Amino acid sequence: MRKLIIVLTVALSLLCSTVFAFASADPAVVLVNPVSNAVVYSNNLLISVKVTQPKTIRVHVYTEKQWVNGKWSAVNLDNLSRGVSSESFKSDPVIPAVKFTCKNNLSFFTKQVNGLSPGLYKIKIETLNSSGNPIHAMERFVAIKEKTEDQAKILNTPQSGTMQFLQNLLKSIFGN
Amino acid sequence: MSKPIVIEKIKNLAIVVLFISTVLLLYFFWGNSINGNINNQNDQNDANDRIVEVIKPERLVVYFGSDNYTVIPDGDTNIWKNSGSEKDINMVGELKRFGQSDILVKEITDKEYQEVMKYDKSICAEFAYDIPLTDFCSHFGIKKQQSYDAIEDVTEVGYSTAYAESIFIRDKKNHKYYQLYSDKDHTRFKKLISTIKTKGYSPYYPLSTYLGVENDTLVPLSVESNMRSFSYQQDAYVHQTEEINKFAKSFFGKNFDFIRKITENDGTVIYMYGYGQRVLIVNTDGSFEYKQEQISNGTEQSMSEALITAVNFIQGHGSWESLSRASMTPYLKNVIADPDKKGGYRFVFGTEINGSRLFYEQGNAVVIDVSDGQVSYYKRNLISFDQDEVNSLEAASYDSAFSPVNLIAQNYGYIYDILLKEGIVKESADQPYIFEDIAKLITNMQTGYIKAESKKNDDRIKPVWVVSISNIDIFFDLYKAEPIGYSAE
Repeated sequence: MRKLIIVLTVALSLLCSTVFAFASADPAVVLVNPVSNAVVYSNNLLISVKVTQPKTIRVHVYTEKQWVNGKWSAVNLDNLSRGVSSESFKSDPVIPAVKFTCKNNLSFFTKQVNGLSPGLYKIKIETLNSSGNPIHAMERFVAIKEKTEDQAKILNTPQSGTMQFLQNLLKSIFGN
Repeated sequence: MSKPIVIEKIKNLAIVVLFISTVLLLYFFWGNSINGNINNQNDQNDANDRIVEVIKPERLVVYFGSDNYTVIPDGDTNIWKNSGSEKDINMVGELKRFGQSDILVKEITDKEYQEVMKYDKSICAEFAYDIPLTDFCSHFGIKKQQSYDAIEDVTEVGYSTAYAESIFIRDKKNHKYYQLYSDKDHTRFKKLISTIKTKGYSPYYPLSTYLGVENDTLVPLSVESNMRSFSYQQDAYVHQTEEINKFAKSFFGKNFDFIRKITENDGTVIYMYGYGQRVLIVNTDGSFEYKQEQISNGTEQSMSEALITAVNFIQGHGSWESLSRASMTPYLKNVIADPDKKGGYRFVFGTEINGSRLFYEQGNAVVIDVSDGQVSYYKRNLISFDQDEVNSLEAASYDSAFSPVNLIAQNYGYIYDILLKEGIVKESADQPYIFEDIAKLITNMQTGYIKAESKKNDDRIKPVWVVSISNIDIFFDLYKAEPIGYSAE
């Protein structure tokens, strides 16, 4: 499991670094959640964007698709480690783009995106000028995965009731 | 008829009369005694019912897995406790059911407790105070077992699907956590969690998720609310002599004719018995204060017994209605042991209006001190309002409350100033990080009504966001996020 997360993190980092090469991020706009290259085990995603200047942003959420066996399908996260290039992906919007205007020096845009299935998702945040055209853009990738493996039990499995009762009884008679 | 025969007949008659008298006397004495026992039992049951009604968790935290939470305020009593029907699933019912099986107790660590409550699905009732386990079991009808002896108090009680056969208890005062496990699974808790999910409560996230600061306090993403501001009056005005006298009689009873009544220059009216052994003060703000000289009789009460004394006293002295019969639902807000170093307990009660808590910028709805089995101090500061007006206002459409996260972003400077004034924070030279510093300190965010200072707020009760930090509640307009005031206890 740990190995898979490391592989996914490295793969997502590579994807993001490609993005940074052609898009300049607005220093007054920060994506707080999901954190960069996050792997999320949920069918919903909370997007939180911190804006520290009066400006308007536009937030897009895309699902990344790849061409497999003659059709576009969700990115197989296991294949990311095999050097798949993001340039071969197609981005389909998950929700209509949402505009948010910050009128002061600190505001947060928050939105819960529901009904997500496992795959690779891209969050794109654009800063718009007064004409509504993007002047800055940033992109972040997030992987949605299904929780498949059983987590280890947190506590030691309690002994059977009778055994524990006897143990407590003996302790109460003879001390620890 | 000879004389001896007459004497014998008189003797026989006397025996018959004595026998009948004995039977009648026994009937009257035993009959009263049996009825008395039944009445006492009924009184005890009534007192316990009243206590169960006021001991409510401050909130129920429900974890649906994968970082999805909701928080149910105490006003939604159906999840905590309901009619008691077998078909209904609620926390109290399931705890009772759990308590019927053989239970073993194991102490666990803080980290294990946190992990268990974040494993798959869980539900946890969080109280604002510590309840002695014995009292908790007796009030909620849970069978007390010998294995519970290790546990002193209950501050949180929860269930996690990680261990379907267990419930978990947090004793906040003693910094201890326990796993109570039985010999069978209790899957109805899981059903309860599923039922809550289908009801569509607002999603909550930790503040760290929204703001990127270290703070696990759960805050709703958004809130739809039907709360509206409404007009109110004081519980009583000093000129309402008839109502006040009637209320005063409940304290002084037959001695009322011997009471001295003093009217102060500012309008405050004082009713005094003897040389101040018992005093009732009717303040100009509509609140009442009753003080009674304490006579030590060596009666030591548990918290539960003291609470019964307090609740019975309130029931007999004004109840939970304003003098004009506006009805509010009480809840136990806080318990302070040994408040004035004279032993006993101070109970602070709050009230709810249609399931929403009513906060006070100054004071509380009811404060009552009990020691040695007696009430030594009682202050009630209820309000009067038109219940029909509130119902019709709340029947209107729901509106979106101001975004809680942006409320903090918009008002962190105001919050910082209050914390500076109250000595919670020191003046920071690091101005750019004040927002993060304030956000880290927030311990709760909830909605409710506020009884603010009347000069500023036109005698209206207003819907508010309440931001809590330490023991300070800071109030903001629910829909506009404008600052209203704060209370510090």
